[in-house]
Amino acid sequence: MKYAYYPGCASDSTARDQHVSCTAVARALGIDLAEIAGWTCCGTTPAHQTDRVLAASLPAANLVRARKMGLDIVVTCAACYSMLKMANYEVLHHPKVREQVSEALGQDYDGSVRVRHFVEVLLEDVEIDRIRKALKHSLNGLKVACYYGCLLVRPPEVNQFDDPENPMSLDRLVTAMGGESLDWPHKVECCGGALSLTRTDVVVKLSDAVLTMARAAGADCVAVACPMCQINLDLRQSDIKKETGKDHNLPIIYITQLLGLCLGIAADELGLEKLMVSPESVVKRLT
Amino acid sequence: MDNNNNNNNNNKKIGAVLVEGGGIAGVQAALDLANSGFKVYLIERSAAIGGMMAQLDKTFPTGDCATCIVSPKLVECARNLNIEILTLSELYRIEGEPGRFTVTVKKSPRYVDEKICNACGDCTTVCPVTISDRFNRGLGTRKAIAKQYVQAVPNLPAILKLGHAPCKTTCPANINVQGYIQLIKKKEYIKAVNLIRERNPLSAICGRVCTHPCETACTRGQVDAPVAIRQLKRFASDKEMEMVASGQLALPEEKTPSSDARKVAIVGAGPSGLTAAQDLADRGYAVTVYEARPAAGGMLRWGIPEYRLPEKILDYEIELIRRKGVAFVFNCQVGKDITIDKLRADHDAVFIGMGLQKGSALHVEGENLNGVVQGLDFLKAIKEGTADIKDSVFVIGGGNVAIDVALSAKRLGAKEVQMACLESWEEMPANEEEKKQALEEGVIIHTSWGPKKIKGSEGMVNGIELKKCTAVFDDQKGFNPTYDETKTADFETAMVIVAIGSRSDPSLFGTTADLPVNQRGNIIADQYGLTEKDGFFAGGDIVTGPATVIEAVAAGKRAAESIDRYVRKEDQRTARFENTIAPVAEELLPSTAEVEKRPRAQAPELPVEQRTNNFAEIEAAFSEEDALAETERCLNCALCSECRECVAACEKNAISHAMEGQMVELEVGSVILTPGFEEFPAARKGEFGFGRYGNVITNVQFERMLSAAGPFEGHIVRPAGGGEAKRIAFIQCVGSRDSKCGNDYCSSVCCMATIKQALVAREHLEGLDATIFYMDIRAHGKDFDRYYERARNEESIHFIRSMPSRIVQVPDTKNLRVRFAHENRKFEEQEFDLVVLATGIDPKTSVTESISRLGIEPNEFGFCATNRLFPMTTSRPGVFVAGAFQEPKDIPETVTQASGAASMAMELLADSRNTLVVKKSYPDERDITDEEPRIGVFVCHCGMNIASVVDVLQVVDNVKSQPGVVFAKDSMFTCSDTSLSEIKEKIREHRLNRVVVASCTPRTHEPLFRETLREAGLNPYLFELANIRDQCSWVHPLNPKEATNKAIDLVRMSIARAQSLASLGGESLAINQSGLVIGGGMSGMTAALSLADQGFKTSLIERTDRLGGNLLNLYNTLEKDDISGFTAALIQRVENHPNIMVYRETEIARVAGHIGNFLITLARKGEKTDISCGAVIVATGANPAETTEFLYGKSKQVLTQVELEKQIHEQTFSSGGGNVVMIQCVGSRNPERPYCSRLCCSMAVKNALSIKEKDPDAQVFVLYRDVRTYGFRETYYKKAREAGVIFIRYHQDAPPKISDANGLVVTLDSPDFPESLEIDADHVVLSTGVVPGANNKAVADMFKVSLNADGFYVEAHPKLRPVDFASEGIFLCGLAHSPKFVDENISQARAAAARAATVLSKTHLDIGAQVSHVNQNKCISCMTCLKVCPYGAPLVNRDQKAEIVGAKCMGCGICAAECPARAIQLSHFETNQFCMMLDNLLAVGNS
Repeated sequence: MKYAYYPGCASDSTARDQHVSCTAVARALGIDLAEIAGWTCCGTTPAHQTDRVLAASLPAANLVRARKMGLDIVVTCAACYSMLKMANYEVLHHPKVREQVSEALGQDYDGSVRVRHFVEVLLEDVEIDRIRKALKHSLNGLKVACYYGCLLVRPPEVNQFDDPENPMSLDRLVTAMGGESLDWPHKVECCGGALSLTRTDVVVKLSDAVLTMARAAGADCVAVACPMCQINLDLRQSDIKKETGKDHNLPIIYITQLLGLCLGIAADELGLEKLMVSPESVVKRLT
Repeated sequence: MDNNNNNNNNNKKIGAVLVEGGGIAGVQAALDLANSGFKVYLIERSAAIGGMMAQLDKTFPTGDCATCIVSPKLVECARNLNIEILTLSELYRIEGEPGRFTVTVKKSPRYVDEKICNACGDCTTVCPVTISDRFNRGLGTRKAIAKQYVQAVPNLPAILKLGHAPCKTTCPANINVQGYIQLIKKKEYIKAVNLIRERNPLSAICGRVCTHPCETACTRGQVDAPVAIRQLKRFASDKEMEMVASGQLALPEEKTPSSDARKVAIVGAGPSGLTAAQDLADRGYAVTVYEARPAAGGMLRWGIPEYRLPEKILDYEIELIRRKGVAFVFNCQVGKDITIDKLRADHDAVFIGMGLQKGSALHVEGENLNGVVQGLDFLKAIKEGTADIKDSVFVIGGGNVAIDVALSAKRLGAKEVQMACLESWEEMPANEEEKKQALEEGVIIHTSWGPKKIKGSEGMVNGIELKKCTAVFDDQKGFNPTYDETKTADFETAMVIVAIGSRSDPSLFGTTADLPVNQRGNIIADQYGLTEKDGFFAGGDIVTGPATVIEAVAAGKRAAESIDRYVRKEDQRTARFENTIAPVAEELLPSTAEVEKRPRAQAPELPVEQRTNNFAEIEAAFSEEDALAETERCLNCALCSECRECVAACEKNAISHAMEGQMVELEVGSVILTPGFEEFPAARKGEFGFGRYGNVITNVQFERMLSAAGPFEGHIVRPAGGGEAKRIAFIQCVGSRDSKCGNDYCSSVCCMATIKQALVAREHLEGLDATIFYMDIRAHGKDFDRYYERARNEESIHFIRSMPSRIVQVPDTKNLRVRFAHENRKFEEQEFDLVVLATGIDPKTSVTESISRLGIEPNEFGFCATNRLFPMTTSRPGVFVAGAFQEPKDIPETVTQASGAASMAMELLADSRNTLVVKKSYPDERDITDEEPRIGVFVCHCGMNIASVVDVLQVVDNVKSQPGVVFAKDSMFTCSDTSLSEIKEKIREHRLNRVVVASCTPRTHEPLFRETLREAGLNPYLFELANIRDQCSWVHPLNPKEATNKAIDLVRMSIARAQSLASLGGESLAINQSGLVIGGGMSGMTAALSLADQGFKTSLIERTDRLGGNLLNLYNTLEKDDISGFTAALIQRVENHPNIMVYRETEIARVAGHIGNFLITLARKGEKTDISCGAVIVATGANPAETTEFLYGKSKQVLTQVELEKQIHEQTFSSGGGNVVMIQCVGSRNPERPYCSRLCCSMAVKNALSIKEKDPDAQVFVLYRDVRTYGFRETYYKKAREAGVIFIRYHQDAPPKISDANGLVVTLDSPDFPESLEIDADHVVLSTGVVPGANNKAVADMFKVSLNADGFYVEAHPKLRPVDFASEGIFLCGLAHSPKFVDENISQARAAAARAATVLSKTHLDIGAQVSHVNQNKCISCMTCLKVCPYGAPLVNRDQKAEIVGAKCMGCGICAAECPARAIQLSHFETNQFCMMLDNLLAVGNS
């Protein structure tokens, strides 16, 4: 099980915890993540807001690197995932864009490299049964609100990740870990996304709605698979408290961190200390 | 085909028609055909006819109860001698040519014999299987055997089966697990065990030791945990043993085989041998079991410790087998004590099931040391009491035997027991239960270790060295362990027990009689137990290698069947039971998403501390309570569990689970497809959370909720979270007008259905608030806009023009937040208690697939492909289509089109009319003249309609003693087939001569009951109906006590009147078999042609000098069908048809006569001629409306859509590259003209597209209120938008304004734009709509039919008699009825022809006896009756007195009421009869 690993910029900064927990989990499950040498930015919001060709070319530059490695590309960041998927979609569906992208890259790119989210690798390639057998600890009925946000599941025709309205991928992992995955209605609400710094007020409002609902559903924590979601929901809890007086105090934890814990990986190898809201209550529940 | 076979009727068409689909369309087509001389086969896929209409609560805009109006039609179908209903059937093949088809119908089994069953319902009562009810769309439950719905026609139950449940298919012995679980649920423990024993004689044993693969497959496992199947089997078996022990149940009698029985020898008394022995004994064989050991049981006895399988259990079940006549010879080793040849010589067949006796060796150093024991030998020694034990024991192996050994060693007193196995903990082959027990009891388990060598000194074991196992299996998943020899571990031990599997014992090979053996020493036999040697069979471990008890049982079972077949010399491979076990298709397994989680029952276990030093059974049986609760967790995957309780309960022996489907071949001349539709699967619109959120339901579910006969009995309560639903949101267009889900079309009916649901719901629940989210309200039908306006004026009904983007369920309250963008462009969220999704109309996938197979083209959406000018014609000649499968449509259009399709078939088969029909004969009427009244009273519950308010039994009690009453009883639905049969039975039994039914309303049900009386030999007028529903329970729902008293009064009054009822006789009139059509437009011409093609002489009356009517101004349909060419051809056909006489420039001057014999006076330029006919079709058309608004007539650039179409066609229109502004609803949908003209939106789209096609740069603006491009027309609305046509909405109270100061300017305030719009227009096109013909009034007066408030004719019933007039023999079609499109007019014209044909096809007509008659002596010749009669029935006779023409009299009684001289009496409603009612009511002491 070998993949071309595309960490994305966040893995070196805001989502370092996701990066380390993902690689630790991969090691534990025998997944070989070969980091793409010389990987570059996926273009993210600034690219797709300004230039269609650029938005496809930047991710495509990484896709051709993976093509050289002859491997599927694996991503942890939902935004990167979406951008890479979109690049494939664009060149596959729009010959004109393909031409322009190829020109920018100096080589033809046909959209053939398979883009996978790490969660997809866990569910489709490793499979739940093997994961279950490898677990050392159980979440012991911990109530987990799995939160997918926008970019994992949308646009559905491009991403084709699970059911766009009621995805269950993270829930299946949580259930396998012995947790109780909650059926709650805000799985795919927007957290505010890239407006984190420019329009904090919007993020505070939207993230508050998500967290309020998670709490109403009885969540002990929220599991995420996207750096943007994680940071908005986690970091903005103090702002929400300031704005609304609501103290959610909900740990926002990467699915790979939860899985790492259950696989018996030490907390410090999973970057748990990086979380703003302490995950101590979660760790304590493990048996 | 053989030429001799089709000799004389080679070209003769077959006077029969097959109609597929038993919804209202199919029913209507069937009735029309059967009533005009054709044999009909009505086939229906489900178990009952009725279709969607039977599932609806009320209809719009009339507010009728849908079931109440459709039921009589269904019953009429069932009673029509010329309609044969085939349920559970589908059209499979059509061969031949139009007029002579051979069709094959695939009929699925009902499992209930339709001829024997009397619908008593006992089977439903006893059926333990409760499943989700599809009829109620999952809101309620039903039994696996049940009627489809209460009033189902045919009124019979059917069994729902899907195949076999995963538990059964996974079980090697295919035990009917679901069946016995359901029996346990009913506390039928003995029946449950018997069901198990049919497939497995070792029920109590397997209830303890089975590895239960069934549980792994159990669907419930996807919800929480599998059903505890093994323990339930044990529970039932233990119950049986308890009953035997307590003497409640006797052991079966001992049997002995007959002296001439064929003989079979069984070698080995293990599970396979025992099973084979019992099965063969059951089949009458003399079976002898040869067993080497001193007792039976094999590995069950010697290999399974007592604490898991007590010997008494084993002995019990072996005793049961022995009692079947099986002989055992113990201590007899075949090959040693008796030769195999002798066995074979002495028996007809030999079965070898001797199992594996020898433990596998380790092949490591030290294996031969003293203290190394084989596990199986150790376990056997324990049973024999000779086992030796040491303080420390080391067990090698990871299977169940290894754990059994380890736990037994503990019990024998070993202080330390350790285990080592190659596998990891997860890979260990032992059961989870056993692994758990090992841990509990302190066994130390070393996983992933294998033995390197066994150490010893002086020949005695003293330790063991293990090496690390790195992998057990290779890449091919084969057993091929690899080791890391460098990693080792040493343990001290005094005893090593090896339990790594077993193999055959070569020393016993004498037994095998040279049977071929594989390299592992196992006998080679196939899946059925057949070996290569004649007469030898084998099964169990000796064939398969080490396997499970249940696999051995299965092998024994199969071998017994094979032996039986061998002895009988039958084929071994055909129709084997195990090959009939088809699994339930995965997609049909129960949905696990909404199943509430419930913990799996846990059987009590002996506490660990009590397990040492004894072999007491660890696990106990479930308590009864736990067992019963556990059975409730079964999801009934296969629906029917085949427990056969229904078979036992059915006293008439009508049920057979062995019933098989069949192919039925029918000869018909034509086929009509009316398969209907299904709802769009709402879960596909994930944003609304259907299937996730309990309070999001579909519109059909809501109909069921509103229905009094539905699962909620009409209460609007929330499926999730409880409570009433006071705030309801309706979301329109779910799965309609949505290209994202492939449904670009509009479903046409949902807007009105929703408005109706909102209005009706409000009546059900006070304070209810409804919000309707819509895109356009499409109230395009006759009188629909009034209904819509009525709803809009209700304060509690809100219309919001917005498509919600998402629904969010509030976790604690289960309320729903609907998110949408408001008209004011603000994002909003509103909370509701319930959300109803208006799911659209989808074609049934199975139907679309099947018509493709039949060579009939579907359209792009899967509906039947048709053409606007040939709307009922499919791509296969002779096959017609009607109803929603042709295009989404409402009930009246469906009924109309069904009659239309019937006329297509009639035209095709005209020559064969009346060739295959039979006529109903009634028994001779009993003369009751001299009989005293003997009255039978039947009081109906009408489901809950009456019984929820009126105490029906009290009513029965109170009227029993009334004078004349000799019989009285209640019934659930008196109108059901069964109840009607009962009435007939009681008439005979009690010699009743009057019948009173207290029920719903005579309007719908009187004909049915009268017919019943006729069938029982009574005059139909001896029937009386007391209306205790419409006029009692429905109006007094809050006063049950008073309502009951009132019901008693009403019934008493009816009884009083019944005493004076007399037999009445009607007369028979000859029918003039020619037709007359008024109006030479498209509808009139089509109707005339249809009649003419059916062979009826027809007169066509046209006012102008030209045929064609409005068609002359139309050039193309929206779909670009050529109307001009069509019109020309139509006119030519009419003019040249030998059966049609065209009268141009002619008007109707006078109408006389009646149904069957009208006398019409025609006037042409002052000249009058009389013609006569049997039926009249009114097709007088309508006109384009005129206007003076928007500068029409003042500016040349302002024109109407009709004028525009003409200019476009004549290529005189040029947009000049400028703006064309179309204004919709000009003069329409306003207080002066409050109806929608239906056509204008599509016409605007058509013309806009034409302009854009010619000149893509032209800007076309359509200013509209609602775009009503319903059905497939919606796709053109989309095309228009894609072409750049701009649609701008306006409110009725802010219409566009026009000015012509400097060129035309249209200004508009649109709710969708923040600011006023100003459009410079080069052309302004007005959609002025349709107005009724000016002389409608005159025609209506002459025929005594009525017009509605808008001036269109009024049909007899807007839903179910859409082309009939209330007066008989007169029919209606075309624009005279209401505005509609060409295709709809064609359907309707043909429908009118079909309806007229039901009259014209007969030679005589029976006239009702309920007519008025004038007492000539009393008549004062005031002629009041002439003035008041709406039907023109009275005339003045030669004596200058009034006289009433029976054939015209509709029995309304107006004349009788108005006659100042009281000279008129209406038969059956005579004054004295009413006086008797009143006397009874007012009699002292009665009130």
